[in-house]
Amino acid sequence: CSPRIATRGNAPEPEQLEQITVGESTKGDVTDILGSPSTVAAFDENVWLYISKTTETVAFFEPETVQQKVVLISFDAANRVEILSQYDLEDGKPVIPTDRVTPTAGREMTILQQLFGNLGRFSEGK
Amino acid sequence: CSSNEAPEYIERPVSELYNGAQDLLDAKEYQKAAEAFDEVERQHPYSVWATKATLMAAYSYYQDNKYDDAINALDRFISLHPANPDVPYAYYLKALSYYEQISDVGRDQQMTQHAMEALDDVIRRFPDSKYSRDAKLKKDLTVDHLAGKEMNVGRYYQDRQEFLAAINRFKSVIEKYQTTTHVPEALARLTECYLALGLEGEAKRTAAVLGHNFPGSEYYSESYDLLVGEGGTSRTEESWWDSATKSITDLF
Amino acid sequence: QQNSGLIREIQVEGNNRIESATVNAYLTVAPGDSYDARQINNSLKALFSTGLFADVSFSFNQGVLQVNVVENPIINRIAFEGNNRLKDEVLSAELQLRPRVVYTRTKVQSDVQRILELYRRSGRFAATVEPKVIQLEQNRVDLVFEVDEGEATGVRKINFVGNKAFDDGELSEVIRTTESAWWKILTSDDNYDPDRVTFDRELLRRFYLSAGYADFQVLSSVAELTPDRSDFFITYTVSEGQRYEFGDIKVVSQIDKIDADALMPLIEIEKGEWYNATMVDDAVDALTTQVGDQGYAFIDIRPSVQRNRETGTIDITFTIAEGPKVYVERINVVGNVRTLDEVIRREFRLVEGDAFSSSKMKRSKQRIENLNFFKSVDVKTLPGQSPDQTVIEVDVEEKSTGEFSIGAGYGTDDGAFGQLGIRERNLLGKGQDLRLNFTLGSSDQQIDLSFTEPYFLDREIAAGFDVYRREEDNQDESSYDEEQTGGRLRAGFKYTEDLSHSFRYTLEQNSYSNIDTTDASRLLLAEDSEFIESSVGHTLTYDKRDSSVAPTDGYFGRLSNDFAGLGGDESYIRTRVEGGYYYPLDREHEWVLSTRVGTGYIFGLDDDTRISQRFMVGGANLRGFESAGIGPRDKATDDALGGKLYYTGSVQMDFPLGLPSEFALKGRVFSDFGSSEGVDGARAGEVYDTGSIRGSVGFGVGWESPFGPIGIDLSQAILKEDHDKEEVFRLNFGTRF
Repeated sequence: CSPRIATRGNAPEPEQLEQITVGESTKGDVTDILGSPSTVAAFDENVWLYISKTTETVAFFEPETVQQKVVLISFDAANRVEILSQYDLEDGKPVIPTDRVTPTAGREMTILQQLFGNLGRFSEGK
Repeated sequence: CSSNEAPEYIERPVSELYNGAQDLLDAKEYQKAAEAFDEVERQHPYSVWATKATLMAAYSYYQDNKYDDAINALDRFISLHPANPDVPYAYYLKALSYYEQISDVGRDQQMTQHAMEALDDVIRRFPDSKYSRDAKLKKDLTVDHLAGKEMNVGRYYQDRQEFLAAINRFKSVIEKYQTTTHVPEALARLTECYLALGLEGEAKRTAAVLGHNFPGSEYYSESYDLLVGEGGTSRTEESWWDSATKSITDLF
Repeated sequence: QQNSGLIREIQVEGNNRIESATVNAYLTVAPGDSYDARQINNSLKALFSTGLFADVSFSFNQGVLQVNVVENPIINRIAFEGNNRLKDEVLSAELQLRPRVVYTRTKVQSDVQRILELYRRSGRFAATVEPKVIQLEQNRVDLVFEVDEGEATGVRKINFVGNKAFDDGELSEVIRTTESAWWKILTSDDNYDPDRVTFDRELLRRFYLSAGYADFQVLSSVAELTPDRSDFFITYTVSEGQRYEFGDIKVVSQIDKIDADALMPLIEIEKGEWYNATMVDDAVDALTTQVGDQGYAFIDIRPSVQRNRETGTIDITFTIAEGPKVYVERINVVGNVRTLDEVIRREFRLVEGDAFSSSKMKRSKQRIENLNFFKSVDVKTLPGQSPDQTVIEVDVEEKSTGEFSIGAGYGTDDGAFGQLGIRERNLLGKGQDLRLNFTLGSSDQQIDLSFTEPYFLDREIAAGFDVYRREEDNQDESSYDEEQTGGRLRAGFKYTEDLSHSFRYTLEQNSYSNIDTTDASRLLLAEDSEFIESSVGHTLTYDKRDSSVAPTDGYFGRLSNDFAGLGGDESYIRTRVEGGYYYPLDREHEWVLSTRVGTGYIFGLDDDTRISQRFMVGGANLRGFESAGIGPRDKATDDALGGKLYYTGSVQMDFPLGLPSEFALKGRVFSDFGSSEGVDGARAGEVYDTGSIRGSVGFGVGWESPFGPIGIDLSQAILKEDHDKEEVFRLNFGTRF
């Protein structure tokens, strides 16, 4: 049976990107054309990112990312577009996330607690 | 089972009632103690004992893990006796009543929110009271807990390779919860997500911030390896066996 | 008294419970301020707003500001008199006032209203409430609410004015409010409730709109009290207007990339059919989902409806236009005190950062509700950081998902049985299902434990395991008992809403016991009585029925194969196919024609099939015959041996017995037919094994009683062999309470 297609995030159209001219368009222009950025780079407000991906899922198999696009727009001190670059699926690295988790407090509910509903104390959980 | 209709209504002198309640409290009979203190307030609302009884009733409910009743009694005490010397303790006990109901990061954090606001009340209204030091300590814990919630959702999206959603969640930890213990992990995972999207520049800059602020943390050494690529390869393909066993262990 | 100059001192008079410091804290003036009427007025308002004081007055002379207060009394006890329909706890839960709280007149009045509202909601409009205050010493009061409940205001008569297309009887089936009658003990729908009457108007509107009456309007719904004030007459005045047919249907796209004609087949509306509003909504949903799946996020699909009265047709044009560009900034889940955040989040069809789509949000809400963990699921959008971003908040209210069920029943085949079950559908808030069942009956005992994880490997695979032990008494059919102890690993997946597929591996230890050697068939004695079955199997199901419990519309088909032989002593291949078709003859689905067919074949790979593996036909799957009443039979001992091949079929007509629908009593006329044949290891002439078709006709009654389904069938075998075991009367009821 045919795979289920799902599109995620904000995928700017090619003709929209053509309207942005390096050195001229300001942050306001970009917002009018593409809308707010999917995310702004963590340590540099002048780097805007538009991230999108398309996945295909066949029956109960792992969803397969068939297309992943990142449009990076960075602005100079005068808020004009300095760099406009695009990254595709090939640029991405298959990274396995660390399975290290910072511990948090709070008691996990035991079966008995769920059955009898008294959830005990938060401070005991630490 | 024990008959639990309300004890029949007999008028007793206030000091006898109060001491009876105090004995019950000392005997750790919290539920009965709370009812006995309520009785004091009901029968003798104008005695000086009544004011103290409201507070003791709240403390008994708190010890009995009946947090809502404790909070109601404390609210009544605060509104009736705003100038009473015990008011700082009332605010503090109310904050504790919310604090004890905080659930783990996988669940609803509204109690954590209430606890933080109540602890803030204590710190702001009574900065030099003996309760504000512990309130500050507990407030940091609640803030750390809220950051833990953001990380929990961030990891959920990262595990499903929804990198945009994960990035925004990890970023909100770095921006809104800078003083919490979750920042190193957030920076490490942010580096991973940027790398997975092919944004080498952003990944390197985030790892640099991680290295600068948390040089000793294992998160930094892992991110460094990932970027420099020495032992990094082992972390790029996960065998089928690993992912299957991982999700089975998640079951339990 | 001079009212200007400096306030040297403030004295508080008349307070005894409230400390003077408290009163000062609420005053907006302090010693040293100058006397200013406006400040005094603010203090007055502040003191009153605390609700602590019945009266406050100020007097000021020679620099001394005197505040005289009269404190509100404290409530000592609250009691109710005259209430029997609503108990004290129910009433006191609704009140604002509590013992030890300050008594104020305004709060008492609002509590009286609350009590009246409670009575109105339970259908008693003639109720009256009188608050009585008893003064006690130390400025305390006892508060007594004297209640006169009055008669239950029922509904004497419902009539409709202006309805030509449908008569009163049909319309009274559409609305929820019903006329009061003595036997309507289980429902409160016969009490007059204004909200329900307004809901009825909506039900009528939807009903007419889906039957072609586009101009339909409910002009008025009037409820007059009967002279003796005990019941209401309710009259609905409607204007039906003209009945319309669908005219021509067009799809127009304002976005050039979307090809409108390609979307036409999605719309199931045909020209000339009676107009139906719900079909228009379904068409909009179908178009939105299709366009959404093609990756166009911000699409607004609007049906524009043009009526032309002369031709009595309605033309509909679906215009596809650019919708507002909004992205999901965050999804917050609140209220999940027990359920884990991911158990809810994984049901969401949207991810943070996605383009917002209201149809996906609707589907997500539906999926979360289908978890059946929550009393209520409220999904709303809140403004985001910037105008084109929105935050979705999912507010759930959990309900108890633990189930403890006790059941008892009687079946013609297996006699009386008791059943005890414990189940937790949301184990530890992880959405996992854990179930433990005990069945104790005269003919079989069973204990089974089953666990299911709905999202195995983070995908929509429902995987789990079962562990069971079963003891079956087949003495009167084939004179042996059978014990089975085993475990099963299973995984299931839904390809689409209707098509699902499940796989299983079963390992089972089987043993025959207390075989009646004098009476048992030689074939049974020839089999060794201990064996292990290790088998893999799958089941493919296509289910388009409106309900799997009591279907009245649609059809289903099921194919399952089992292969035993991966180790264990047994090796066989068993195939079973089942299907059913349900055809409602009337709109209320009371007359339902249904047919069911089933067939199965098992053949041993390298050794003979066993009696317990072959198919037994008769009883539930072939009425008119005892359980295992037909099929191969040992001539000498008259024991049923089961057949390697079987087929059964049934044609049945369910019909109402003319009693009102509350009784949920249905009659049925049916004809069953089927056969079973093929045995392994039999010598010539030792076994009756004709494989001829058997058939029966019969009628019966089914009652969906509040205690569980009860069924009685009387059937007469018409096509039969003389060695078959017939059965005329068949009763079974299973109660779960």
